[in-house]
Amino acid sequence: MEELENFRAFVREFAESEVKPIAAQIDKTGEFPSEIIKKMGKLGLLGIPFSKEYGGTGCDNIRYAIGVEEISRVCGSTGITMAAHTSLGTFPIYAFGTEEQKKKYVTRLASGACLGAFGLTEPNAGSDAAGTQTTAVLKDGHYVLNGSKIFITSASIAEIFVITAVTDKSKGVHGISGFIVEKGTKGFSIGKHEDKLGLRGSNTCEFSFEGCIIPKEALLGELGQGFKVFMKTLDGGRVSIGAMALGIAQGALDESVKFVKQNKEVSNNQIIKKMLADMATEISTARFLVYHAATLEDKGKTVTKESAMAKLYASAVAMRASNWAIQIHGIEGYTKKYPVERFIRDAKLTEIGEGTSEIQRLVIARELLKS
Amino acid sequence: MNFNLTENQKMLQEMARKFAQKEITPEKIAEHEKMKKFPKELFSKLAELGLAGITINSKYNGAEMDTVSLTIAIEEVSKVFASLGINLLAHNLGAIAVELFGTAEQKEKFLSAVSIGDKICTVGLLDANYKTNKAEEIADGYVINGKHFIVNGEIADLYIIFSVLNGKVSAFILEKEAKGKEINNIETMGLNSSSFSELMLKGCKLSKENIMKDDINIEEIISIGRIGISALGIGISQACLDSSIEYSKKRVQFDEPICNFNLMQEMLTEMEMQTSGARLLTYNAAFLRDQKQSFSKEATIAKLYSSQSVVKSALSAIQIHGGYGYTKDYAVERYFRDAKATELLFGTTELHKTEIAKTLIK
Repeated sequence: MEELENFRAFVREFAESEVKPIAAQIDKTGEFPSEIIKKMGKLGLLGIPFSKEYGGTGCDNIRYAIGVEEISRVCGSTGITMAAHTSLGTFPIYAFGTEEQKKKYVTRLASGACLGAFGLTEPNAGSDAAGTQTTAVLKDGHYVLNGSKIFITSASIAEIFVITAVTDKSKGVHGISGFIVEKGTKGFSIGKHEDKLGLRGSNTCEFSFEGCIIPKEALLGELGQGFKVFMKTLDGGRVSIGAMALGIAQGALDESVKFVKQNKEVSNNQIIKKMLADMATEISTARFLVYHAATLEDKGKTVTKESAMAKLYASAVAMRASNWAIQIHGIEGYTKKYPVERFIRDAKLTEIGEGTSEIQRLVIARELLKS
Repeated sequence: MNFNLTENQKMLQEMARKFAQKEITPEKIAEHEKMKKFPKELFSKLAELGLAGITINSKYNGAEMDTVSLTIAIEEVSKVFASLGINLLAHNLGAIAVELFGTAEQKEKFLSAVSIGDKICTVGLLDANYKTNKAEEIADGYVINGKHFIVNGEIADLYIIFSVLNGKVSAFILEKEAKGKEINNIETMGLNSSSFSELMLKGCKLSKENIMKDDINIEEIISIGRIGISALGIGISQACLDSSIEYSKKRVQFDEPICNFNLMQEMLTEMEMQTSGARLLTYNAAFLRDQKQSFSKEATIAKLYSSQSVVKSALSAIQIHGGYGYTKDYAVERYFRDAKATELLFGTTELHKTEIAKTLIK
């Protein structure tokens, strides 16, 4: 559709002129691209699927997917920062928050005034996301949080956090609740910054709560509804990671085509042509899966299976495409002269974060085997 | 068929393994990787163990062992620190080139020092398309031009350079002081401590003493190099497997160690199968050389299989380690970055696919 292509062109122009020039640098130094993120906020790229009423851009999930794809095509680190902020940091409040919470927090997040983060993962709750050990005890009319979270994107930059904590241990999965916590709350401290294989320009940290007091109003959704909040959040997050992976794969293809055009001897090889053809075909397939999931979201459907498929497939495509891209560039593809070695380092996370590929497969199988 | 190592080979394996465990500590690795520094002290220790001239004749201070032994040494070192593994390979390969193609004077002058690691050696092969490397005879010697990707770049005392002279492959020994040469350190995805560099030769003038013998069998050097890269890959692959087994036994999710889950088991099995297959192919190629049989095709097949396998193994290892595998807290992300080089050095995977087919159809 023409409007979608206009939106794509708009994001691509920004990505090529502003984001691409800093991508290699932030990968090298681990520096967070604050200026770029600010600009993205001003352009409405940090609140694409949220209504204007709450400070968003008033677009849909398909444009959001395209936005993440185009940014990730040039810079995975900026792509994941955008995706985590939107799908993990802002969406849960947008979908489950009270009117007051939405007015207070979504407006700041969707406009890009500040970044949001999502604290689900813990040292003992990775793939077993429901194995939450952080506790929230109701005491004297407020909640007291204790526990730690790890691998949280943008943790030391974000100002608003959505976290999960156990409010009733006896209820198992239905004893987990969601909460909104603000940066700087006493007893809430950011810990170790992770040194990562890729996405090195994105900020990934631990944080912990030690007797952290938050108001009763910080409860997000109903008490004991935390599992539902985070599962729904992950469904959307998986579409965004699928879009991110799609972007990286497209970037790998574009770089490869550019290289082959400039190096005629390489272009004569059928094995190289096969790689380009397979990359392009798989990317097209991944695109359909990602956009299909996004379209279903826009129709208000539950996308548990479709989002898992989109992420599972697109992440595998990103890995294959970036791996082939290095081969196409030969030994120089192994050096930092070309961006392709960064692409595969960035792509690998898409097979792990927001649910490993193994978990995605179990999710899909479970959906298929439901009576 | 006897697939067992000889007593000497077993002793070498034991010695290399002990060295790797005791001397190549995680702290030393981290330091070199961070500073992107050639591990000179570790290399010197390897030389002390006789590993700087593994296959070289004892009259030149070599250990006079066989190709299988060279393979073992590379595998054991690479299991712990692949950068050091490739340094060791490049150095030994240079030594082999001098022993095979050096004039009597060159062997006298250099080989004994090289075999004890007093002079560090490296090899600059021809570029993929043989286009940039050219040598020309001039009045009192030769002038060479070209570009070579090498390891041990900043630390090497001797560069064994292959070039094309009058349409024929020729080899030269360049010393550190030679003019008209430029070494540029290159930042790479992995093998960060190998001193990966670009050697640029621009009107590099050499005297007649620097040219090696007339009959250069570059294929032999490339094939031994491929066996070495294959061994490097096996070492990394084994490290990936060992790390994954250990992690999956201790990591508990859903109330069980994750090694109990079928999808983890599938990955472990594939890693074991691939590593075993690569090992057999590689050691067979080395053995063929030791039996003085032709081994080029086998070396290339081994390298093709080992390199593709180790990349898969390393990616599976990261996957098994989950989020932790994506951080530098665990070695698996480095195993992957190091592993990827094996699909590109001494020829790419794609090149090998054509080369091997050509041997089948001729």
